[in-house]
This record gives sequence, C-alpha cells and structure tokens, in this order.
Amino acid sequence: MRRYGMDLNPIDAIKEIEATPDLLERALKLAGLVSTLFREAGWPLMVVGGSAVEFYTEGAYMSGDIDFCRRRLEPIPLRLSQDLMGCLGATGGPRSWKVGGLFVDMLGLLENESVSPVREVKTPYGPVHLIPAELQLVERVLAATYPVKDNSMYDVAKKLMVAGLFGDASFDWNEVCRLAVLPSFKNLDEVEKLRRELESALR
Amino acid sequence: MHSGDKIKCKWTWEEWQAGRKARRELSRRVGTPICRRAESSSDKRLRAAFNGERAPGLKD
Repeated sequence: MRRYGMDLNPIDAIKEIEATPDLLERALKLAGLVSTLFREAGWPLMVVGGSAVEFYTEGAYMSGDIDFCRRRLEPIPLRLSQDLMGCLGATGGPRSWKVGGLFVDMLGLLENESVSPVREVKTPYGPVHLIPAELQLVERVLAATYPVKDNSMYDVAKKLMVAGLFGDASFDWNEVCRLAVLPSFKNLDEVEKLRRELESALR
Repeated sequence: MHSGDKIKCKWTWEEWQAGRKARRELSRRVGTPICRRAESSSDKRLRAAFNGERAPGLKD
C-alpha cells in the first residue's frame, strides 16, 4: 500500500488513527485508509450515512460507525473483504468490523440518484468519497417529514440545508430541486419550505 | 448556493480542518447542538462498545 509515494504500514496507520482524539477526524482517517485498501484492490467505495452528514454539517450527528457502499455493480468477494480488513487488525465481518476504535459497515451497492459530483476529502491515508450533499439533503428531508414529522431528523435536515446555503459545503440548488421531484422523493414542497424557514431565521 | 459548475467538491486535509470551526458555528445556529440519534438498529453493539453511549467518548 502506498501513501503519496511512500509505503504505508496499515498497522502503524491504525495505531495513529486510534490515537486521534476527535471523532470525525478519526472517522475520516479510517475512511481514507479503508477506501484506499479497497480501491487498490479494485473496489472503489463511497461513504454514506451519518459520517457523510457529519462531514457536511459538523453537527455532532455521527455515532461510532462508518457506512460504506460499493460503487461497482459486482459484489465484493467476502473473502477479499476479510483479507483487506484483516490487514488492519479488524475483528468481525464479513460486512461489519470493529477497527481503529470504530465500526465499519459495508452496506452494499451504492444508490445514488444524483448527477452532482461526488465530494472528496484527501485524508492523510487517501481520498474519501462522500455521497453528494444534494442527495443527502433530499433524503434527510424525506425522512424528517414523511410519513410523519420527526423533529430530531428535521434538525439534521436543517443543518444540511444551512451548510449548503451558507457554508463551504455548498450544493447545486437546481440539482436539489431535480432530485426532490423524482418519484423516489416527491418532496419539493417540504424542501423549499425548509429553505424559506432557514433563510428567514438566519438573515 | 451555487450553480453546478461552482460548487466545491474537493477538500485537502488542511482545507477541511481549517473549515471545521466555521461549519460547527453555522450548524449550531439551527437545531440542537448535538443531533445524534437517540437510538438506531446498531444500538446494541454501539452501546456495548462505547460504555453505554452510541459513540466513543472523544472530543466531538
């Protein structure tokens, strides 16, 4: 395994990651290391779920696990997954491991309806690819408002919206609207309502 | 808000770290300061691993 032209010892990397005191920083480093291992083996991954939300919002949302999806159609051979995660001293499997003081879950094939670019963070252990912010927002608004309103989920949607409207994790509003009218979501009214609420509250 | 060709899609590690404080402050202007879910399907293993909490007791 190589890191910016240097050989990387995965066990040394895991020790450094375990010693990282900040949860999100630790998670991103671990995501970088796992992504690099799988990418070099021919299986590019994407981070979805709470750690992706956390990257965009810094909202103290993520728990102690990192969710990955694979980007190739074919399933990752479980024995290969075990080999790769075993390099890191991970325990468990074959789709969920404990490693670096966190849990890593391999959820399956990526479902990404967005045409927005995948976001990328270059960590010390390689790039991490994150589900587009536009899709995250529309999904979280759906979960927060349908079939019934969930106030804690609505908080998460608010944080994603302000990050996209006013922060550096900006999104393409046209793409947000395109996604929101798809049959998968059908929540453009709720998305626009949330935007109006926040623009009114923060300006 | 941006059109598709202007959105920032790549961050170096240093850029990401430098933006954290601003993202945190912006996030705290809406909703609860910590918006972690109270429970999920992973509760059992998370709470077993992290002394009854859903995440390690790190600086977050």
